[in-house]
Amino acid sequence: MANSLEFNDVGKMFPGVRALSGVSFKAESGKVLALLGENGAGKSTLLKVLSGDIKPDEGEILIDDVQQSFSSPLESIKAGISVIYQERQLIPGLSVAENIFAGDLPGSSGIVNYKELRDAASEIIQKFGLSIDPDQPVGRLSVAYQQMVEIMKAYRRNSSIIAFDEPTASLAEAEISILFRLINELKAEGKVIIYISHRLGEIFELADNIVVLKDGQLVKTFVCSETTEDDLIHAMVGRDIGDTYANLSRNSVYGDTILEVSGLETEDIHDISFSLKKGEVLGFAGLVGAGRTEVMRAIFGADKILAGTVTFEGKEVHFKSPKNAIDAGIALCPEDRKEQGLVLFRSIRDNITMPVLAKLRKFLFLNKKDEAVLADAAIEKYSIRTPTADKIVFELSGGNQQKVILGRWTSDLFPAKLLILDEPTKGIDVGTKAEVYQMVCDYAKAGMAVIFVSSELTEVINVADRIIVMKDGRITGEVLRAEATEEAVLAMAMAGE
Amino acid sequence: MKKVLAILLAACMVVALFACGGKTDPTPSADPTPTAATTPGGEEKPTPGPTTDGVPLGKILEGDHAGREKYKIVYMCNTLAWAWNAAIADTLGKLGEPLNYEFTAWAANNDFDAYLNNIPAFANQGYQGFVLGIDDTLAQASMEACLEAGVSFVAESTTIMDKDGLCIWSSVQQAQVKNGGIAVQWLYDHWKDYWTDATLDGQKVGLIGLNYSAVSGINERKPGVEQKFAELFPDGKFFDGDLAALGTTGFSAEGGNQLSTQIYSQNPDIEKWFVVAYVDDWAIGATRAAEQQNITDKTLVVSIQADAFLAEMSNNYTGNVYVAACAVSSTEFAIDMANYLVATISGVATPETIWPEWNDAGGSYPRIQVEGTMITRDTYKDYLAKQAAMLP
Amino acid sequence: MTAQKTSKFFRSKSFALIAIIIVMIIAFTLGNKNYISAGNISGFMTNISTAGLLAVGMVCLLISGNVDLAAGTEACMAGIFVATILGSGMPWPVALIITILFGAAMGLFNAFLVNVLGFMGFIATIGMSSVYKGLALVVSNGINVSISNQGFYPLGAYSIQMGKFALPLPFIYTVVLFVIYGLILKYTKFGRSIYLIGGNRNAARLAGVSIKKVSTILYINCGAIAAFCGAVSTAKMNSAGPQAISGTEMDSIAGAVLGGVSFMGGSGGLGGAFIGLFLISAFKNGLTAISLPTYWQTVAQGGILLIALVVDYFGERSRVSALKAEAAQAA
Repeated sequence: MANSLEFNDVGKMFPGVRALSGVSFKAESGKVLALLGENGAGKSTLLKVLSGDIKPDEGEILIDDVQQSFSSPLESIKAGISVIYQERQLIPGLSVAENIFAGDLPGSSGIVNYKELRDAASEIIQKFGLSIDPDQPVGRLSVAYQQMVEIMKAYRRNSSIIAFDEPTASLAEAEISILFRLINELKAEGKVIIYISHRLGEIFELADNIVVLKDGQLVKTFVCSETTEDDLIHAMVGRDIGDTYANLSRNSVYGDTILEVSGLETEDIHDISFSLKKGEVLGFAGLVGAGRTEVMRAIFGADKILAGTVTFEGKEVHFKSPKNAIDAGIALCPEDRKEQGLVLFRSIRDNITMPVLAKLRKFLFLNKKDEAVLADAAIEKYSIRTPTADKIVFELSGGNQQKVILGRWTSDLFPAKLLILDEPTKGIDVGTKAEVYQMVCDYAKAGMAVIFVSSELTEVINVADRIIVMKDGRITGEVLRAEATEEAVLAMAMAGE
Repeated sequence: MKKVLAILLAACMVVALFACGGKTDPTPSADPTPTAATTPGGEEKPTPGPTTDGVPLGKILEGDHAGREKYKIVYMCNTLAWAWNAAIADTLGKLGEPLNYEFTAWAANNDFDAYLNNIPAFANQGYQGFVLGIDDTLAQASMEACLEAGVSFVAESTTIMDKDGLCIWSSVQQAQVKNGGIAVQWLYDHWKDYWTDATLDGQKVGLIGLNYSAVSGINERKPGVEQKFAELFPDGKFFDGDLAALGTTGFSAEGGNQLSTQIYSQNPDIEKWFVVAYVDDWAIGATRAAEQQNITDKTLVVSIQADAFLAEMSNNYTGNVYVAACAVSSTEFAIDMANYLVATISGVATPETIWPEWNDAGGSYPRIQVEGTMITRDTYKDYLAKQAAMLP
Repeated sequence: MTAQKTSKFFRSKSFALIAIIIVMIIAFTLGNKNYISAGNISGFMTNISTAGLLAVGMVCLLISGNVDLAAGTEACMAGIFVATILGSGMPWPVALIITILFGAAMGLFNAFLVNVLGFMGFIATIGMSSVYKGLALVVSNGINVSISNQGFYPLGAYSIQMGKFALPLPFIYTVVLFVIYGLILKYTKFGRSIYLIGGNRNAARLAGVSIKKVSTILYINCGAIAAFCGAVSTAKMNSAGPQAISGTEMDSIAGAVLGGVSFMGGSGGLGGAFIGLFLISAFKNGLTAISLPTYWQTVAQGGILLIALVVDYFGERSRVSALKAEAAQAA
């Protein structure tokens, strides 16, 4: 069991970009060390160095003051390190038990002892207080439970150092608390835990120490109990974001009602009714799984409507597919940019100009020059960090990817009348978030109607003019910004629990 | 390094493919595309010219061949790895001496585009006579190419037909229908040599015709077999064993074996089995199937074309199941085609006037149908000797 | 718990296939009562053995996320090989062993293409398939190679007489291999590592599995079994044809996929593959029994595949919703 993990003056250079430089900190056993930083600050790179995926150009990693050198992920695992990524590393066709013990199945002379496997797996499952069937194929588990299987795998490997990369990104409230319980268990066993997340609330709940990275460098190390949120934010961006919301230049002139939804019903949502005026920013608040995304998909024509009506610009509409909605002037920035938004293996330019390709056509061919102008404008506008517009979107950081999608729907050639943004600031750094908020207000000023869906309460109640709260597929409340407080909105989001 | 190795491997593959090629895949080929029969000279029926007395069949055209310029003749087929094609090429080559022509053989190895492109290419090199070993898909296109190149040509084994089945150019082919009948006739005449029963009356007789319907040349044998069988064995039951049902893997001895096994075992009420395999390979499969089902005392297998039969003979096959084959003489084919080309190049005859007694009804072009001879274990040696003697 | 397990079985893919098979057998028997005669069953067993033997090696490769599309032509080459070397008069068991080694060598070459040169298995083996097809024609000169060694013939042709019923040896080989490899896949670490590689290559690597080593073993294995298949078929024919067996690997793959072996790798097993192959072969056999005209047979074969896939689709839906219900209960 290792007692400490230390990064000593670690540096890494990629062509054109210095990802890490002079990073030094120490994590100790039985403690959670949180890594905080904007997108592109170097967190992922640091994790990759830890897991042996890449080798640092300078500096070293020390476990218990002994220098380590990993030439492959396998060696890092042997040294007792497990990294739990956002993407699952499991075999869907095999059972939970087989995944936990992958590569190390119990049994002698090549034959697998299934009884032993099942017992050993059950032991670990019980230890963590879960009720998962060890013979269940892993592919059938929910994302959250799959993650727990990964944790058990790390535990089985007797890893003394476990790192989590944004583990709560797609978890529901109840699952998050189970996760925290597991992490605390690991803490109690004396593991060294590294925790990367954007959610300050979680960090304050879990972490003992916090390391803030900015532009590849270590800014400051904090002791959690002696720090405030403002301190952290300040360290991350170097300026006070406290005035973020106060400094927003909002729109106060509303036009006619542009969207009216009445009694909308799909497989996941029931009896949804609301209206929206031009120039208004309407926020949708609620917990994960409340059904907000489903409402947006129904309006956008992506899901089948079972009952109810949608009236757009005074006419009742039945969008059979997103294309119809786009043609009508509605744009949707989806929640899951990887699955639903981006064409991952195409360039930034391709992704940005997708919906307006028709307009960029000159005779039969795409006007490459106009395309480039459009793409560059968007890159500029959103400060997308990339050397060129040709970069494959897959290689961008999460936050930059989100910016690409925003760029797509807000280019000059696309006359959106209604802009639906679903979790637009997910994975975006604080500085850009402020830019996005202002952008939303600017759209409103320009006469667009904006729907703003977000799970971050602070964000939604401070940016929107009016907030609708949902829970379990129904609307549970509606408030104006002036009257909204986090507690009140949260109460509505959890009504009845 | 990886790239170099990969390129080397690719080169080896290409060389291997060219060196050996493949049997023409018996992919289902549509009937030739319907076009009007292009009869040069159009309307009036040309006066009949040299009959088979003038330009003989089965023996070499006489005349002073050495006294004229040396012709150039080429045999274009799909693959020279196929025994039949190799035999034709070989004989055509040998005939070049008495008939005074330079000969070359060329194989397309499944590259049909190359086949069509090489017709004008050879013509440009001075070749005046073309023996076209084609299949249904190439028929029309190669005829057009030859007509355009202005050369003399004859189709080998596959006839060039229009959509109504009328022969629109000279061809030498196996007498498909007739040979089918010959095989059945032979069975009728000789079954008693192998079975001790004095009569077949009152016994249930079945005949399996192993066919591959997707290839027209082979499929043509079926009616010959079926009709003859109905005529000679009116109470017998005919089984159409179509190997096309097994997909492309059916065109093999294994395919013949599988289908025969099924038919034998699914019809145990049949007391005596005849099998006519339209391709000799399949006869081997049917024979093995009979052995494995222990019905060797009541099964007789014959094949159209004799290569596999000859192979079994040289392998000392002593069984009494695969007993005969309808041998079609590649030598005779070659002689007929060489005669035709020499005659038409030298102007002794034209395609429209030569061999008029072999024209289709209402057609102007001869369709020579070479009949086969049934050979057995006792007679095959004589047959081979006779073949050799046909050459000068 | 057993009630749950039983209902799980009824919803499983294997059950759906078995149900289709039973219905099919009844239908064909009504069409021709000799469909289930001893003779036909015996012949059927011989016929299914060719695709069956190829399937054993193929399924292992498929589960690992790879494939050997040259298996049929490898078998054909092996057949010609054994026929040729038997001509030299050596005892047939020796010839058989050498032929199997020959098959292993072909498999090794495939492994080389895939693991060293980095070609995709799909591409590499399609290429080799053409090469072997051509080579077969070259070596055999386009005609069958006959065998005079009489001792070799029973290897493929012999049947054990059990009353009226003749159990063919090739079928016994097939079943034995299916059982052995089935056990290996399920109960050995090596077998499980095949699933690891097929399911998630990265995870397999991180779990310490040597992907190249396993892949090489699987290709060699497939080649060796293919060679055995070719030898048995040649024995049965008492001659080797240059066109035999090539193309049969498609039947093996179709049967395997039908039986639950995913082309993506990581799932399925030999039991399911056998059932799938059984369905396809028994169906083809039945079509001949009722003397369905050839072109209708092709339509019918497509139809049965469609039916099987549709049944599987609905089965999958009910499996998923059952799991959702279970998960909701557990939560």
